[in-house]
Amino acid sequence: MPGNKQMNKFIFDFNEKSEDYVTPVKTGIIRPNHMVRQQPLGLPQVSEVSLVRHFTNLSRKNFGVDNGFYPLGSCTMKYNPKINEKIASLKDFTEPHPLMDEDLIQGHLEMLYEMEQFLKEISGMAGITFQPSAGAHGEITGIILIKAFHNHHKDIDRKKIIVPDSSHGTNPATASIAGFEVVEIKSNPEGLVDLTELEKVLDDQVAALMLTNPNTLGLFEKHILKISKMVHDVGGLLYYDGANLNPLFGRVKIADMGFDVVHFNLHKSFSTPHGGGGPGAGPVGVNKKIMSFLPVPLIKKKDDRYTFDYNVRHSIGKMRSFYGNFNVILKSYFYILSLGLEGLRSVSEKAILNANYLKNQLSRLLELPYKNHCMHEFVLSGKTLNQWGLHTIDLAKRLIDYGYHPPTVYFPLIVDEAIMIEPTETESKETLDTFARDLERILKEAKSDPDKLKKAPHSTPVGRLDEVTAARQPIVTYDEYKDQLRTSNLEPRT
Amino acid sequence: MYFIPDLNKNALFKELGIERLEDLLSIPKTIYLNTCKTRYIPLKGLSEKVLLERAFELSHKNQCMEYYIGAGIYNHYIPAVVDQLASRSEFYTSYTPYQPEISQGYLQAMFEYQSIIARLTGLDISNASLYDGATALVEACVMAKRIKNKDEILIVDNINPQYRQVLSTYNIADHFTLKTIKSIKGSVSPETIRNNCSDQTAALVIQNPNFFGIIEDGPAISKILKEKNILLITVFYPLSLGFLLPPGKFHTDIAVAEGQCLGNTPSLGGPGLGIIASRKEYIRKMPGRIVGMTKDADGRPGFVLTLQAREQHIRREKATSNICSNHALCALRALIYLSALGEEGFKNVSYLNLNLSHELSDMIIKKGIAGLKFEKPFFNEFVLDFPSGKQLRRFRNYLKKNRILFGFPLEKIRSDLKNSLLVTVTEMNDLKRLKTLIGSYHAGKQTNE
Amino acid sequence: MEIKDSLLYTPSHEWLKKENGSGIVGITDYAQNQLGDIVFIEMPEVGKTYAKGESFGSIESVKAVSDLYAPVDFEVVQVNDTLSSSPELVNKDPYGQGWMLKIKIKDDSQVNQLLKSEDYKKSISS
Repeated sequence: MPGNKQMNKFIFDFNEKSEDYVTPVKTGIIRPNHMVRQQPLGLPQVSEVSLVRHFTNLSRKNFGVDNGFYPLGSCTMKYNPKINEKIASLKDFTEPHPLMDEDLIQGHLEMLYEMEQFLKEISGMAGITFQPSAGAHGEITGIILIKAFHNHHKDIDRKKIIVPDSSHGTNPATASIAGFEVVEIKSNPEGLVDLTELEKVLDDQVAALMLTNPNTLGLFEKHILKISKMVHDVGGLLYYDGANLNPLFGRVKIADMGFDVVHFNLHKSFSTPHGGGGPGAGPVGVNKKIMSFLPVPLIKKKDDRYTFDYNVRHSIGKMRSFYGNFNVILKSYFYILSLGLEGLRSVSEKAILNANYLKNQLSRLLELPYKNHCMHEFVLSGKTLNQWGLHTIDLAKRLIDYGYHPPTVYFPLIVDEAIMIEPTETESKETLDTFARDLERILKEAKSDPDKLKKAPHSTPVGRLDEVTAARQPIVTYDEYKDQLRTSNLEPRT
Repeated sequence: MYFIPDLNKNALFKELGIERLEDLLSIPKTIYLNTCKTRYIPLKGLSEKVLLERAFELSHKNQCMEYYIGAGIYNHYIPAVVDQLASRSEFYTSYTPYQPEISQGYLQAMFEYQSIIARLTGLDISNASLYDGATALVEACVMAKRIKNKDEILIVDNINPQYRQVLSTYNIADHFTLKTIKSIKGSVSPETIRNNCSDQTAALVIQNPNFFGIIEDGPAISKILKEKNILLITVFYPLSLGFLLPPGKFHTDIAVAEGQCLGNTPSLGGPGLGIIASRKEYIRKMPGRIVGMTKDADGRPGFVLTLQAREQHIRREKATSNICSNHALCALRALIYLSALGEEGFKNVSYLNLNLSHELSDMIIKKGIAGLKFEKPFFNEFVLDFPSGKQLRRFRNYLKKNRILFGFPLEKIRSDLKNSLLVTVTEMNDLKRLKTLIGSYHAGKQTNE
Repeated sequence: MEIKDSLLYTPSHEWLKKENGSGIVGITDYAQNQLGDIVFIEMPEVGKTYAKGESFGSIESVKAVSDLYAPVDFEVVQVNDTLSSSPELVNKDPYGQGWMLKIKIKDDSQVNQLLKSEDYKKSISS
């Protein structure tokens, strides 16, 4: 891990006042004086060279896919081809304003229209909205669509949304924000939806079941057709959380599994850099019966002309301003073009093969609670570490010293000391083998020198941080920090 | 395809003891696709060179031209350092900084972003970004409801119409009672507000400058709200704050904005940057990620994602919001943009926008082409009132033929504003050229057409 | 793990100390230990009433959050304000300085339904 142990200055600590002359406000402009700023803004005073060094040095204290292997389960941190960045930065794509006349943005509209067809072909759904800005935003869009559908059919007593206990946290959070009651069902010993448990909670109050397939254990819900029939039989709908779509490309269509609504995580499955937390894009696909509820506008094609269509019969309205995270969608569009159908099928194949291969290697070292073949990811348990007084977190932190981003840990909640690994298709066998060897070395260290893990990481600018104090007395701005410095025990930077 | 390494499939098959991929799968046979046909997705992938050709083909179908349009998304100059620094792949290709030890760079940057937004808005705290301005407003209303334990939200009819639409779409579950307040001659009348408040009101939403570009009387509005113990949510335009009083200084409780104008390109409206800032006392009701400062075991200062117990991955159905991914990269760009401009540079841009827009409106009024719909102070957007819709279209078409897209016809969103054009001026506009074109436009002659 | 004989308990790990008609509520030593370092406690306002089993607040550690449930029907008489600045008191002294609410008990008969110390001990060891 590069980067020195000394903390960087804050951008506010520079005192390199520019010699810029501020052009004054013209005389004669009517202005309400009490609404005019009287005090300085407090923006940084930093020369360009110091600015560049500041952020370059900060970047050296960060770790991306371009730095090393990033087996972060459920996050699909695959390598992102650079050509997409080049394309997305073309001025003709970045400059147009969303309210420009349609005849001036035909290129944009054509791309969106074709991308819509791509996603339909991949998923088998009938309609797409590009508005959602991320996976969770797609979920809330989907659940609002489901609510609108039931309301439209005067089916207003459907107050429950079912989620498995292995679901992503966004699923219950979304359901509750949309005004539903969340019903969580336990998984069976195989790690799949327990059909008996499902049967118990199904009734005419169920609005939908939200499901990730493969689920967060990396296992395909093999009874999916049965599940979808059960839910549909009581009048509920099926929602597909698309976070784990990667291993299904060209092999299973979401619609064929019986799902009514789906969101895609373009920034995971369709390769756009995650940018340290976003922006992503979470388009939502729906089947025929929900089409007429989609947000406006949709994109229409007539005689090679593309237009916005605001005429959607029972539209729920809008989920955000304008049309979606265009810049992200554009990269995904070119990602799909660069692969073609054959390439998409080989993505899913390689994602599955890589995961199963690595699972086999690692199951010799750590406990594997669910033994079946996995899809794109798998979950180990770090319980073995307990005998040396260690936990999953210690292993995760030690991996950092070996040049890896740690896997997802302590999720899903149903596995004790969970370690969730998703290698993705863009990693070579060589990388996986090295990772397995390094993990083996760490386990040897765990036995011989547990403290090495306990105190890891050793190579980073800071060690493990005190999250308790951070949450008890949150300091969230520079000005708060300065105030605190005056009064408290936070040491000044050296 | 070149970016997916060859797997040596046969070796892996052997290792896994299988003969074909399908041996690993438990997908029901009835839905498994042994082959797949597509009409739009090509069978074979395109090479990098061909991809780029396709990209140019598409981009050339766009007709880039200078525009005088804003209404929430603004074209401002972006210093070259913004692209250079934000594209550093250590930032660009990283995930959410859940592992603080290898994410100190991004965490410090987000801490600085939070700090700069707090200073800009005159409020105590900010989160590390939301999706866009409209969804930030939704989050602010949810927050206000939770703070006050009341569900009525008053919203003035002169805020961005898309924001109102998004709020009412989210409100399908009837979380709020949304009550629209009429503006008078384009702006908020404090008396109307006084008359519309009730015991159940949690918050009032205003926009400053409002959708028509007019500067509202913040202090007069907040005075009434304080008396009645109602929260003020202000939608603001970040770039105006070089000139205008920041929302925190007229007692705004929650300030939200579309932050695209700070170092992010218009890109057909997305991605944007959802800004939300508030008072320290409400920090545990804030949505989304927040970076906090702390120390490691050796006493070295460092940064972590803090107050995570508010968020969906821990609180699940009781989370303050369902948001997970945010728009961190756009926030990083905003931070670099504001740092690059600095105090003087930012003020300069802000004043320049103010000056240029007034220069243009004066020019048009003097020429007798149109008048101002609302005779009120504005920042860099204003509404032109044409004698007729026909004349509006004529003038606009004349400029479009000269490759200038002039203003957004408000008729598209408000049927009662047939003769009105919302015009935005930024430092990217070439007023000289426009002036020449207007000079040779014969407005008087067309009145009888 | 300390369990006081003089207190009554709920299966959701709250304790109640009864003092003719009124009572004091907190969470057990077992609960604080399960949660780890407590960082924040969301408490109700004085004067609010809650029904037995209803959530009257929540308690947070860094990576977990739990609801606090009313052991009986009650009205909030006093709130331990020191916990807002020093939530760690619940870790240090759950039965003493870490108390949460003083309450007026609405229905005395519900008190008898609470767990005695031995029963609570059984419930957490099973």
